[in-house]
Amino acid sequence: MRWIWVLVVVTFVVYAGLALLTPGLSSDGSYWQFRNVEQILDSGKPLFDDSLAWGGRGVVFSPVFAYIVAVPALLVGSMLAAKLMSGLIAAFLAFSVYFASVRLVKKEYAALLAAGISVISPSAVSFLFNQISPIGLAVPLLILSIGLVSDVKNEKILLTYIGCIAAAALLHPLTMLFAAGLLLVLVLKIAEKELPSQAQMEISLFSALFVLWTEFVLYKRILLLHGASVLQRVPHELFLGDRAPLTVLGVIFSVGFVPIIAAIIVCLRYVFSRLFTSSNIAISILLILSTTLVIGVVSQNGVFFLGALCCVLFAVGFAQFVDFFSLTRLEHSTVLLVAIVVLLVLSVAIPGLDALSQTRSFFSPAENDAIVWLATNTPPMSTVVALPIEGQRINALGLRKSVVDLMFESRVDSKARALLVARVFSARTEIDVTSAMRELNADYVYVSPGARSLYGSLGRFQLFDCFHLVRDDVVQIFEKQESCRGVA
Amino acid sequence: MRWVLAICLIIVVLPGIVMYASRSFPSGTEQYYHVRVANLFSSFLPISHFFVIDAMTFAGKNIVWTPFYGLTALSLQVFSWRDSLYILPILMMLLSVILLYVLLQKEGFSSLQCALCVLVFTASPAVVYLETHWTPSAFAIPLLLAGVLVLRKQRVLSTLLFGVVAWLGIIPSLVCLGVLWAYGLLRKVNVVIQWSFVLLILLANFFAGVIVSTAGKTSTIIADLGGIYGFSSFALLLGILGLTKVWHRRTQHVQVHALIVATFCIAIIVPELLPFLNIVLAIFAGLGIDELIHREWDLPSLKYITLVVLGCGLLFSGLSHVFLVINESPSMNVVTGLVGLSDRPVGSVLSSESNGFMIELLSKKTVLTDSFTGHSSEGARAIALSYEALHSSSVDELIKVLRIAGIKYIVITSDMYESVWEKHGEGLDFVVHNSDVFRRKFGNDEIEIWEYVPLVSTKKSV
Repeated sequence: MRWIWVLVVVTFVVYAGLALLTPGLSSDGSYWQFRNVEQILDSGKPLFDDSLAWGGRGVVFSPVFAYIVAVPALLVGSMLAAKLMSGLIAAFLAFSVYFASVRLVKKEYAALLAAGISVISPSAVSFLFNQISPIGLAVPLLILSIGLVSDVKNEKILLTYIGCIAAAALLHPLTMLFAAGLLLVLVLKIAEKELPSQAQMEISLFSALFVLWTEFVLYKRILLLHGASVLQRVPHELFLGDRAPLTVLGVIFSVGFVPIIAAIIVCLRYVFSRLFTSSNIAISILLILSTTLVIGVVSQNGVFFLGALCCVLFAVGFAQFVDFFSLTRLEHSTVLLVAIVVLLVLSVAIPGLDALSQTRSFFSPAENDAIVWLATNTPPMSTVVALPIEGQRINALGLRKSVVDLMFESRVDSKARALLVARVFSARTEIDVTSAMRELNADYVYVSPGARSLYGSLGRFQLFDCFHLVRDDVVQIFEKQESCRGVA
Repeated sequence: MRWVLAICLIIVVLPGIVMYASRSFPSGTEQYYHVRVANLFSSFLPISHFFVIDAMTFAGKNIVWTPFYGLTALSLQVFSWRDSLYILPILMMLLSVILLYVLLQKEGFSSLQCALCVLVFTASPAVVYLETHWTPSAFAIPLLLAGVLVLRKQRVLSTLLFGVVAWLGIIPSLVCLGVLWAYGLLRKVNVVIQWSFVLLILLANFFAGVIVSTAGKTSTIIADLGGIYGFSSFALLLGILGLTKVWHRRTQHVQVHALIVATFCIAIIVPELLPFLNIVLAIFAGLGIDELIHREWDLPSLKYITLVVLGCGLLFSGLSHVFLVINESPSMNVVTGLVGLSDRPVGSVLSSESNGFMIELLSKKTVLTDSFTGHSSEGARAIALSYEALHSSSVDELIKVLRIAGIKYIVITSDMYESVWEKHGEGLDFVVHNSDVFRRKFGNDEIEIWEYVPLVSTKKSV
């Protein structure tokens, strides 16, 4: 048991230490949370009406996470709190994967290995390193709940489980997939004509209804806004240029080959055995999560949950592998076993290191300088066209309006606006660009290295009479001339 | 369990007090119409006139006296119209809560069941709406409950009460028929006389054209999704649980079960039924909670947590509805503009249908359309003219319509930018802001009042 505490401390030190050595935060969504934390520290209220967001919209989101980060931010300041929080969340992920794995397989070595892999996998690094996001905290809570759910007859465990589920539901709507997983187990059991136990029924129905109600209350306005199309496909146009493309290979690479293969093997072996065990629930959540990812209802956040879930199932697979190993003639070959473990860890760690270097360099200091330049050199009411994945950073550091960002849930026209942004960057003629700028009601174009890698050099902006280059560095910033109106 | 009843009575009064404290004018526009019509009748009983002609709209319409207008007129003789709109619905809902409690007790429900049913009823969004809006439904519910309560022992009184409810319109008449039929079957009571009486009134309603309410027009079946008369999603879940408790008796009372299910289905397209169905739902939801309390749980702690969550959910639905009602139009800005308009010279007003009732009462001006215009003989023409004027982008076309309808004032409220147009600067909004024949007489963040001043010699166009 003490080894897990060593792993937890090491994870915290490494994640928080590296985050402290990295300037700024490493994801656009983190800047949204960061602004909320600052707003809470200033006024006690989060940014439900964000004047810098496109269209001055009312934003629908759960502020619970921002309030959680605001507590340490009171003592050490928002940026330091954000960096320490990213380390704490990573450490919590390691603990929760260990806890759930131990309850699944009752073998500490397998659980420890799974916990280790969970924090070095590319998905964990991409979603947790130097970032603050509600999903980062919600996933460890859900993993912890998987470990707790099969033992709820113990009163303390029941209360802990309800606390975890309630916190996760308040943090992120992905918790609905957990509830759906519980219901799927029930439905399949009833389909097998095996009546679930009363305790199982009680806890599953309570969890499902509680989570659904919480999400309904929190995101009712989104439901009213989108109506039946609330289960829309995620507009992938918004995520152009993001680190983790949502393709099958992209997902496998993010999660790691070893955990995903182990999870598939465990699924095939154990799919819905006749007990209400945590592994059944983990498998059913995995199936629902994979399906929703494939049909495109769940965004990139789902990949992180999938990664953590695969690590838990990896523990089951690894324990079985060791059992099998002990039955072979190689039973006493400890060196071989250690070599296999090292290989497994390396197979995840190497892509993890690659993800780390990508995440650290995703927002370079030069880019941040360019955005800060906007704050001091452009009129306060000006609007900036940038990639959707840069929208929140423009708001937070540049203090200027962006035209679109990744928070597409609160608006119906986010996809159309993302396409207009793409038109600004990709149109060949000046009239096309100015028309798109006019529709977006924008004054500046922010050409980042990310935009250049997506749309080419964008040197044509310098040839357009309507655009004046106002900053030329790693990032180029063009100002639209007042006289150029474009055609609607 | 009497203390639960006391708590319910306090809860019923609270939204009204909050509303009274936070607003100078009652929310919702339909009650403004009812006050004005009650003023037309001017007395409790229809002594001088049974029909009046409402001349406040372009098309004009006949209005039939109902006991609802009688009570409103009586109240107007004692209180101001604003106070009447606060006091009357609260009194009616207090009466409803007491009557429901007594009725359930009389029907053999346990004290706990009575308390739970009344608690769910009190916290339901529909009741929150009815205790803050003086509508015929608020008047009908206590009378209906009283009618059922005295059905077995005081048959004449019961017939009268059902008759009064039926008089309020076609939907209340149909509800009375359904309730009498179901109660007769369940309790084996002869209800032929009451049924025939209500049927006669229903037929009379067909010919008289009694209008009940506009509220249903915008209502969806779930309050959490914006339905003003809608059900709380929690009450609905508990109602389903309560239904399972009586499900074993489905073969005994198959007609009643079928009637309830059918009425719930019809309510999706006829939302005027929702306030009445809310009583049925409250009873089933109360039984549902009772079932949760008495059922043996494997996880006893989970039982208490579930009950707490359910209680919070029910309370939350009611509370969120209180805030919805408090923030409903008209705001003080709009009222100021409309009251100011009453001092201007005579002339008709063009605005959206939903503003019609407020303009008629507060500005004392006739309107081209209000929410009941569709019920009058010339209604279709008035609606067509209004549509043409609101969406016209040519000043000549607009002036032509204004002359036909005799319009002198145009009232544009901020909600019209969502309900009538898609954005600022469309149709009439564009024309009035860009033509010399319209003079802005009043304006703030929420309302603009324009006067049409015909130019004799200059022809302006946009």
